[in-house]
Amino acid sequence: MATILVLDDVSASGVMVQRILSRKGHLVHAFFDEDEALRFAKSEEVDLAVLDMKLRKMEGVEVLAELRKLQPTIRCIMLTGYPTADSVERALGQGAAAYCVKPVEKQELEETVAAVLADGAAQADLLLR
Amino acid sequence: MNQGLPLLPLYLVDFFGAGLMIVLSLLAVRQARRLTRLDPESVLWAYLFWLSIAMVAFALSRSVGHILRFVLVLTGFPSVWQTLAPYSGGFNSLAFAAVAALTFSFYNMHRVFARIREDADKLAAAHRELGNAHADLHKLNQHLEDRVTVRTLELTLSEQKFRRLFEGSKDMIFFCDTTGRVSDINDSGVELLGYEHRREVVGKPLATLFADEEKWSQYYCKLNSVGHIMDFEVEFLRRDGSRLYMMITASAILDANRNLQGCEAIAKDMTRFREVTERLIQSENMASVGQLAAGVAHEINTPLGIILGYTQLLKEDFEQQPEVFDTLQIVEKQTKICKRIVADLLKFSRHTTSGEMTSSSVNHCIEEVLSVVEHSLNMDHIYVQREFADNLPEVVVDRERMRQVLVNMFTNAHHAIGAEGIVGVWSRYNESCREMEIIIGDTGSGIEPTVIGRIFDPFFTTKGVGTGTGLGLSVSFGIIKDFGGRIEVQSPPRDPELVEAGMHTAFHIVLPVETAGDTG
Repeated sequence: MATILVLDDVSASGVMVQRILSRKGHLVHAFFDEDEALRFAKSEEVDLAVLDMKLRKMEGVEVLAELRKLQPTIRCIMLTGYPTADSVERALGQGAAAYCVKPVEKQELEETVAAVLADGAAQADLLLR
Repeated sequence: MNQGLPLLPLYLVDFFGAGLMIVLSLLAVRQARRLTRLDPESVLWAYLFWLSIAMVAFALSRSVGHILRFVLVLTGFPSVWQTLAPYSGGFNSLAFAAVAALTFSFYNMHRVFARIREDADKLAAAHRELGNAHADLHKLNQHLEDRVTVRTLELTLSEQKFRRLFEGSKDMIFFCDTTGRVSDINDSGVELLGYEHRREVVGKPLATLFADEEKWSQYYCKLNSVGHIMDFEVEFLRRDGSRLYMMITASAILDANRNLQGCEAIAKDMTRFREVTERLIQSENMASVGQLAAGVAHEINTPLGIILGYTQLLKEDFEQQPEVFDTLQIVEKQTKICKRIVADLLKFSRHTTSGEMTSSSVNHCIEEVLSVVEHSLNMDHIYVQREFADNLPEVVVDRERMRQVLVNMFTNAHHAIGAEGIVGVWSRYNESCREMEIIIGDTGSGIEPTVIGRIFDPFFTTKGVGTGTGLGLSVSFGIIKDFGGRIEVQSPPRDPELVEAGMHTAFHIVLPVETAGDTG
């Protein structure tokens, strides 16, 4: 079980991600506002952030940078409806672990989250050794 | 009588004077003769000569008489002298009269001569003037000839210049007479109209060359009223009935009363230009439609994702209730179709090279695709006729997307035929343009002229609901454009080989061939 932060400016979209991942046994917090999400990350430890690229005030990549300042080990999956080579590069450059093109299907999301968490666990194992 | 004075001095003077007179008169004759010899033509000298002869006769008659008398009187024969004296005196008087007559006539002679000379001088002057006038005339004549030569040369050069312009122009240049018939046309014009000889066109009413009567009346009215017409776009009929898009600039030829006597015109062939422009407009259309589509696609993506996600969640919830589950299954399936359309739209608008561009054999690509689609074609009794050229150079394409285009083309051909027919595939290489051409033809229903201009437009489809999305050709168009090529459609085909093969529609995919020289 992991603690997951979901940030999407469209609430239905964020809630959907929250529901899909909750069913997989994760603790999911959905936010629609960047500030609220960051405030949450200040107090709570988060394993994974699922961020939409296009938000109301900031860009997903900027939020990721802020989150990294708060929690350097945080892992991240970016979601976007505008898949351009440039945005992919920026997201991965900021340390995003995966990148999903909207509309994201349930199964794809579940698999990506599982893979990123497993990979993170593997890396953590490596660090512990 | 005068006995008081001595007579001797008198006699002596008389004697010697007479002698001297003879001598002087003889000298005068000699002088006159010399002058006469110097100038035998001179009447004056001849006159003087005869005058001096007369003077000699006079001197002799007088002096001989006086000397004889002196001698005879002194010698004591005065009687002899008495006898001779009347004869001597008579002869002397005759000679004197002769001299007088000659002397008097000299004045008149002189006047006659002066007149003659004057006349002669005048005549000579007149002759001189005539000579000068003649010389002037000759000079003028010569000058005139020179000027004519120069002018003729200038005229010839000018004529050559304009003739060359007329003959060498790649544009059509023609003239019309009063009756509106073509009176002359250059070779380019003859060729453009599809004739072989000028005489086939000369004499034709210009109106018959116009494809559209309405245009002809516009042309004629404008020339008549304004006197000229500029950049007038018309369609000309070629000999074989095909059309030529021309842009005419013409001037009216008017007489003194400003009545139309004919026209002179230059017509530029705009067929190629128009094709390029149309293609450009289509490209522009595609680009703007593409942008619009991309915007719409992005907006739709989010709600689509939400519908899809919640449907999938619900499916999980209702796994035990088949009826609800089936319903959700249908919602999910339809939503996925929407997702595919949106994805296609984005592919069409994006022009990203998602795959790798590699050097590929066109024939190989076609065979790969045919190995997949040929079976389904055969199921409907549609057979594939291959007309591949050998030794084709390779083209640089993204093979995955190239296959996508070909699948699209074969699917369209299949739909156009329905069942029973032939799909023809040609591959050709045009070395001069360095272009590869893939032609996919079908014996299907053909494309209506009213819709042929729109078939590449996104969402345009003639297929029934569920069969096509109207994006196949748009996407193919975008892909081939990415490869630096173009897709054209002809229905019916213009290529005689395709017509002979029974094709009703032909799609030409033209791809640029990069030769070794291009890539260095």
